[in-house]
Amino acid sequence: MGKVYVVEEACMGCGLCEVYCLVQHSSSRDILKAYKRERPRPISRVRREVAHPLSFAIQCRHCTEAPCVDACLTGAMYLDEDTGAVLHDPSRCVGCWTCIMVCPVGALNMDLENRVVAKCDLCSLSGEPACVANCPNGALEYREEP
Amino acid sequence: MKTHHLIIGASAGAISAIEAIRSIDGGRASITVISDERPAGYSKPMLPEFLAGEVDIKGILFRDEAFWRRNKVRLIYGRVSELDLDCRKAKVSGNPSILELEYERLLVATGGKPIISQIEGLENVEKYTFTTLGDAEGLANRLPETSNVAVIGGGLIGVGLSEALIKLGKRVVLIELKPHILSQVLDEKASGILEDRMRRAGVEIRTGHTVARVHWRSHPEKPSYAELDDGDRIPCQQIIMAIGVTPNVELASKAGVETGKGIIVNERMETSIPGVYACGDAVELYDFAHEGRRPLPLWPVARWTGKTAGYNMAGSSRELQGATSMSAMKYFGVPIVSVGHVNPGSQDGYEVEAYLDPARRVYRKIVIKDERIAGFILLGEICDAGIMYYLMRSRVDVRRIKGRIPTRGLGLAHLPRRVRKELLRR
Repeated sequence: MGKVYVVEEACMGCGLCEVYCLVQHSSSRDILKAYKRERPRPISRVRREVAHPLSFAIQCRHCTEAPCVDACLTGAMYLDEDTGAVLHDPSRCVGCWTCIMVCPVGALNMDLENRVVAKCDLCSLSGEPACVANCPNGALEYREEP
Repeated sequence: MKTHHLIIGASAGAISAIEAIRSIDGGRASITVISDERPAGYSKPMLPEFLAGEVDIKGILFRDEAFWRRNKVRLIYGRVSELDLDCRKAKVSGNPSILELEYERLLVATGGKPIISQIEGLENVEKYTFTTLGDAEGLANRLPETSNVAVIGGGLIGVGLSEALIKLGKRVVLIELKPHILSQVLDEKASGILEDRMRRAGVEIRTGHTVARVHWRSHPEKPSYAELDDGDRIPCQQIIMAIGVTPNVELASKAGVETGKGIIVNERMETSIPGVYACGDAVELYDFAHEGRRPLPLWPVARWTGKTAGYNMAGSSRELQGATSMSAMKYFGVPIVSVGHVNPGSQDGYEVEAYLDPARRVYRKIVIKDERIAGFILLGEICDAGIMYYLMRSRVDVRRIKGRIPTRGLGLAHLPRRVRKELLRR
């Protein structure tokens, strides 16, 4: 399994990673509908951080011993044995936010309309994730090793 | 009958231990689990959701029935009646038979039991607590003919229970002895915001009071009213005592394991007796924020201690350097995270930074000691809680960022370069 790594020097802080992540996790997969029409609102699972001159994007690190998997109260957060990805089953999530309390990179978002957590699923491992594929400056890389 | 690993208890700690053992032994050693609750492996923190009918019995299972099979665990429903640690033998009263088990490694994961306060008229109180699935099912059965419920105790269990009862359309009076609810994990401001939200949702909160006696209509099924210490009468058809839990140490202590407030364990979760381990709500641990040993009856802590015990039982050395109190809450739609030492008061050496925005219902407070985070409360805006917990655990110097945390929040971009690089490489 690959992970998404950031190239800080290349990031301009444009935020397109957030835009394409949100669209990828919308039901219409249409940028206008995803932003303007869809209810509940789709949620980006990547976060752009800007503290000039520094900027970068951060999403779930798919930790080998993920604190969120250990802390989850319901079993919604789990390690996918086949791929090594940390995945989340919203149907088992009760939105208790315990995972948010223990994620060292703050990569978990609150989906307040559905009262569940929203996190990076590596675009469910169908090749290069949307944030990487749509980064205009090569500031995100999808690869095996850090 | 012989087993390599014997585990007493079948909740968070036991499950984590099994997963740790199996992650290194490939299913070789035999594991036997004794559960006195049926079904085994359900999630206790989800009891309010279960009572409210939001999850069913399948939904409350943290690990489903296939889990025990898949991990080659012999699951026995019963109770350990005798424990001989010298001969490494346990006697299990199952239903219907009695079983003798010989083990190599023992894990005591007996959890906690509800704290009972002596109240006149509430002597047979075991029926009126809310810490097991059986309790929740019992209460659910009594609810149809109930319109008013008195809940004694404004801690995590009492507040969660109150919310479930409100969802079911019941009238709830929550009685808390301290001046504020959730006094162990929140401060006056944070609990004030939550209390306000709860009152608007219909909960009557009576802080600074306790129940002096309970009057019954038909003993012991139906109370008629609860009388407070100031003589005030609270009409109710059900009364629940939710004061908290205390480590369930009886079995281990009687067998000769050293106990304090909970079973005493070292960093590998070994007890005072070789080959005997303990974890979860049954133990006391070093709390690195409060700087002392105490029970930490919390789901994530049970998972971490259980995992540590499991690795060591299977022969792989692992240590857990203490833990601290940590609660994420969502009661009545208000997201709150509380970690560590949040109420230093006028204690020496502590510094507090706080920010309150009543209009947006945001309150954020950090407690600092020696330029390290000792605790924090985040209410309303909680997404950076995990970063703060990491800084706290790793004892990162926060003197340059502490000012911004309450008001503007924390991202990886604000951390020292070395810490940021390390986290981004994960």
